[in-house]
Amino acid sequence: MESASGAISVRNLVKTYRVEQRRAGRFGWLRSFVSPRYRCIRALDGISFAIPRGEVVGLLGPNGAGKSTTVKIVAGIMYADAGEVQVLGRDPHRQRIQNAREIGVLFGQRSQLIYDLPVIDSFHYLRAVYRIPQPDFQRRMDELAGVLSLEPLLGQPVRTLSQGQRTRCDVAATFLHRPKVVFLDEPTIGLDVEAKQSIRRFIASMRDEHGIAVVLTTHDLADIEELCERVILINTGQVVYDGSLRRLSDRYAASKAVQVDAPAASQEQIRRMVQTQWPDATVEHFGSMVRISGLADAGGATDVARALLQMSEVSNLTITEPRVEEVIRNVFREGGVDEPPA
Amino acid sequence: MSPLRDALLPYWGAVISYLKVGLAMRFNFFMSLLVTLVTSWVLVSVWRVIHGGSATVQGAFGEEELVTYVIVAQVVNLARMGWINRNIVYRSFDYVREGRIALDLVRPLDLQIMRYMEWAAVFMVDAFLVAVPVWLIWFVSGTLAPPASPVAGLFFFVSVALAWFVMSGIHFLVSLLVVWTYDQLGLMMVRTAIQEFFGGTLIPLALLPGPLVAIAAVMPFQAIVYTPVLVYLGRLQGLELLFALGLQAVWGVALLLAGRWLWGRAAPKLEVLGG
Repeated sequence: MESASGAISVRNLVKTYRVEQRRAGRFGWLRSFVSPRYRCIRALDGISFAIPRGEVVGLLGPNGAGKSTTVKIVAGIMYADAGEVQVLGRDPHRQRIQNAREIGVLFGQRSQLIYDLPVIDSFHYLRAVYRIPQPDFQRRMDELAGVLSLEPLLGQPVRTLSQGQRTRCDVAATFLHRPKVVFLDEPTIGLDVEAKQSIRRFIASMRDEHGIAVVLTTHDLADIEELCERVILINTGQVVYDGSLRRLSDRYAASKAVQVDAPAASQEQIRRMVQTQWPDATVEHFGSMVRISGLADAGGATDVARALLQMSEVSNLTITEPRVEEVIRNVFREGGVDEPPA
Repeated sequence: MSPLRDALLPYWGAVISYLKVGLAMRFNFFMSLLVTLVTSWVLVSVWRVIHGGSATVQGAFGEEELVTYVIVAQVVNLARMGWINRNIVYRSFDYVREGRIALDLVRPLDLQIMRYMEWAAVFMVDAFLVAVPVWLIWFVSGTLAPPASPVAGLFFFVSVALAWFVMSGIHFLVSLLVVWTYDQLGLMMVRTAIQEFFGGTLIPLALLPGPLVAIAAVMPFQAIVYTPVLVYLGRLQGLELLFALGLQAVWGVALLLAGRWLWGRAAPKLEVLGG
């Protein structure tokens, strides 16, 4: 059934919500009761993209951009008003049940575990639902428990878990039936740095070992930086960028910078050298450190670095990448990407 | 493995989980038991008084028979407060309203079969922890008569199983209406009120005025309480009994099909908002 289009293909999705709108005026609440008025909000306005297997794609955008709606439609939960969706060559709505066997979904803010029961009972439930044979179940549980350190949690009721513990269990539950396509909606929300790291490592290992496709929505850009080569930016229901994270950083790099330690004596020399060759660059001094920023393209930063390294007194040279956060802010400030989506 | 068993096996997980959840909530059952005991005691007292003063009621039921009716109607009340309401209200209504239904829809399970199976587990736990203890307490205290005959007792269980089937159909339909109304409590109250009245939970249907009896006869609610209680009392015999059980089954199937049809209409309209 798997077509050449790969794991997910989405064409021209449109989704409109009808939202009740309070009437204006002093007795608006009363008039709204007698005759409610509705306003249509276009959540998705012609979204298209395709994702092959083995790729982790970051779905980014400000709140209300349509990320969650897209995920819910592709996962077969909600219907679009118009457009086409295929997941592993299937229509996720008409063939919801067959599709559900092959996908895994994690909503970071909603647990799929059974609240009042010990964690292990949720896994037994999933074993029955996905008809996982007992030996396979045992092997996968051992593996998941090892990687995500679940062992001490399995006997504990879900309601007694901390947010980080619960999320680790939820992640394991999402991957238990070996899905081929996984949707992760805010998988690291509310977690500490260490818990985030262990979940990212786990997702990366699942991608590399099992070749699954992952759609990741997140507000934590470190997730994106560590897991995704490719990002899709959505704003007001439209795809404003679809391509490599690197290209996006290069195009919208706000302040790629080179930092270097140098003795006070050579700092003036560095300043003169940089200002002669890169007149646009900004040179700042912080104690023994010199920071050269305003180098928009990647080549510029490399050239500066090369020139600096030829000076014998410098040490600790680093090129700092622009933060993805900054990049995205710039994309939205400029109102979209000027080149056509890849 | 037979195809039917193979198809139903994934839903077994839901049944087992609900049995476990039920047993994990001991306090809830204690309260449910208490409420059912008090309600049946109040109704028994009221009906004893009514029976003493009304020739019509005396004509329809003997006093002990009426007391048995009232208690058995509470025992088989599949819409009682506590565990049953809690699960049916929370899961099927709030799940639609708050969007937790998203988690059910990503499972490779049919939503309707999943709900019916979950409710089977809910009713089973209720039966063991509430219904049977209430029945036993009244029976041991000498207030309640046993089933009219062993055959009546046997068919009573068949009738209760069919009542579950009908009740699940009604629950499923009503829970889907939330997709349009966004309000579950109102729907719950309307359903409970109609059901208690037209199901014969509060007043035996035989005591209602003629036109109301006619209305009750064409509604599914009598299949939930009135039929099982009449079977228990031995008032339905032979062909009449088979007809009553058949009617329960027909209602169950009709509601099942109506539920499938309505879910087909509701699914495209479902809006799961929020993260």
